[in-house]
Amino acid sequence: MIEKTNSTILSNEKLASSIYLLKLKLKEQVSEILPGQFIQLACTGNEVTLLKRPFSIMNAYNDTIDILYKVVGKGTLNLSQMKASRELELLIPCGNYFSTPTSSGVNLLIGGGVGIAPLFFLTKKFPDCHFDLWYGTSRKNERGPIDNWTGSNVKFHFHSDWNTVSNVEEFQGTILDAYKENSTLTPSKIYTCGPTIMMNKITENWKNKIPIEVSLEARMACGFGVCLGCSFKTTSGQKTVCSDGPVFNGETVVWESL
Amino acid sequence: MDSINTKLESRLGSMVMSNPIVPASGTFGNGKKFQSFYDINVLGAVLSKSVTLESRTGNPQPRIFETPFGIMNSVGLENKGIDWFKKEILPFLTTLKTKKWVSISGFTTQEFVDLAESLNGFPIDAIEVNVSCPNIHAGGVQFCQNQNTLKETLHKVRKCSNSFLIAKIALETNPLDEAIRIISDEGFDAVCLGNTVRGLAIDVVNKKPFFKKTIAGLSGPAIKPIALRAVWEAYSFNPNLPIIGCGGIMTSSDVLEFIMAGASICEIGTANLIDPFAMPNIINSLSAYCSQNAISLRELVGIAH
Repeated sequence: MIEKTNSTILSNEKLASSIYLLKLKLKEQVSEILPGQFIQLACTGNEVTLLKRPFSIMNAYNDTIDILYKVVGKGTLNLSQMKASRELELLIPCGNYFSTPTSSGVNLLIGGGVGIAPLFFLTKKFPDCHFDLWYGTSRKNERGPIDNWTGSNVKFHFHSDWNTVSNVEEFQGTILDAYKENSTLTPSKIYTCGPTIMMNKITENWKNKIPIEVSLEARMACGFGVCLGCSFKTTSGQKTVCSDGPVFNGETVVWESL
Repeated sequence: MDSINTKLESRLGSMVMSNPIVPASGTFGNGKKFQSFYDINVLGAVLSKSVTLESRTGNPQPRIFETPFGIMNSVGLENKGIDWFKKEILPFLTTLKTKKWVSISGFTTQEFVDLAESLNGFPIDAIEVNVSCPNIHAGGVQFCQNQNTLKETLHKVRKCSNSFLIAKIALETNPLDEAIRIISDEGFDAVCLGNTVRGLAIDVVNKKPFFKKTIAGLSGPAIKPIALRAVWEAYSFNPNLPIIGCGGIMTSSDVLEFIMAGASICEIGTANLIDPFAMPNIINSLSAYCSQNAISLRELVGIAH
C-alpha cells in the first residue's frame, strides 16, 4: 500500500558526472519495499516544481532507502543541490515489482544509465540467486563505483557507448552489442531497465526465447494511477506505467506508444 | 478528519452537501485509488472521470508537461466507455455515503443526449455535462464557444435527463454572459467554471510542438486568477445560478477566495496529483477557519461583491 511520509536526507553524494546517490531515512515504517518499485519525491527548490518526481529504489534496508539519479531537469537539479538533514515528502512504495529471480540458472540483468538502480536492488534482495549484470552508460565518465558495491552473487560487466580513444570520442556500440560480442551465457530470465530504445532492442533480441521483464520510465503526474498521464498501449489494452507497472513483460509492450 | 462541522455545509441550488470540496474530473480516477489513502466519504461529493459513449485510448505520449506554477496535460479523455462505466464503476459509486456526480463528455450533441439518457434511473446525484469538449461537427470548436450549439445541446440534454445537471464550460468562454444566460434559460441547475486553459509548449530540441496534438490543457495555480475572474463575472451576470469554481485551487485560502467571488462549491484538480491528501487537508483547514471566525461558508458566497 502506498503511503505518504516524510524523510530526512542522510547524504547526497556526487558519484560521477551528473550522477548522484541520495540516501533517505524514512520517518515512518512503510510496507515492504520490493525491487522494481519506485518513490514519488517532492523536489522543491530554487527551480519551481509542482509535481513529485518518480525515482527507482536502488536499495532499501531498515528505514533507509538509496536513490541513484541523474540530473536531467529542474527537479533533479534541485535535488542535486540539497544537503544532509533536509526533509523531503514522498509517496512510497509505488508501482509493482520484479518477479522472483530464478535460483536454478543465471539471471541476466541489463541496465542503462541510472536504470541500473532497480536491478542492483534485485541482486541485494536475492543474495542466493546468481546474476550476470551488464551496466552501460553513454559516456565513460558516468560510471560510478557501483561495481564495488555488488555482492559475490553478481558477475559485473561495464560498457560505455562512447569512449575516448586518442583524445577523440569514438562510438563503441551499445550495451546489447557488447553483450552479444562478449558473452556465451544462456540466461534463464532477463531483467532490464534503462532507455526505452535499449529495452525495446533487448526484448526483440530474446523475444519468444527467454522471459524478459522491463522496468519502464515515463513522465508522470500523480504516480498512483489516476491522471493517466503515463498511459500507453500494451497487447492487453492501455496500461499506466505508474500503477500497472513500472515492471511489464517486455513482449506485451507496444513500444511505439511510449 | 475532524468531526463534521455544520458550518461547512454547502448548497448548490437544491443540493445540500456536507462541505464544498469536490474532485475535478480526471484528477480522481473513479475514486477507488483515493479510497486507499482516506475515506472519500469526507468529500462533499465524488466526481468520476469523464465518460464518453465509446471506449477511447486517449492521446499519444507525451501527455504531461510541467510549467512554472502549472501542469499541461494531453490525456485526451481516455476511458472505457459508458457501458463499462455502468457495469464496473457505478456499483462502487453507489456504495458511497456522499454525493455521487458523474461527468459526461460528448463529441456531438447526440452523444451528450445518449449519455445523459443512459444514466436515467441510476442512483446518482448529478451529471456534469462537459461542454468544454471539442464539437467534431463544428471543426473542433468547443460546444460552449458557440451559442447555438450550446443552447441546442443543453436543451436536448435537459429534455432527456431527470438528473441535477451541471454545465462545465471553458474559462475562455466568450461572451461569458451569453453562456450563463443560456445555461440558466435551459434549466440547468448549476454552472462549473471551468476546465483547463488551452495552451502550447514547444520542444526546442526537435523544433516542434511538445504535444502530438499541439494544444494541451493548462491547470494548476497558473490559471487560478483566470478562474476566479470567470466566477466573479458569472456571479455578477446571474447571482441566482449556482456556481462551481474550478481552476488552480490548492489551499483553503483559495477556496475562500472562490466562495467570496460567488462560488458555492469548489472542485480541486491539480492539487490531488501533487498530494493525494490535498482535499481532506483543505476540508480540515476550512473547518478550523469557520470555527475560529464563528462563520459558516454559506454566509460567504459572493460576499466580496
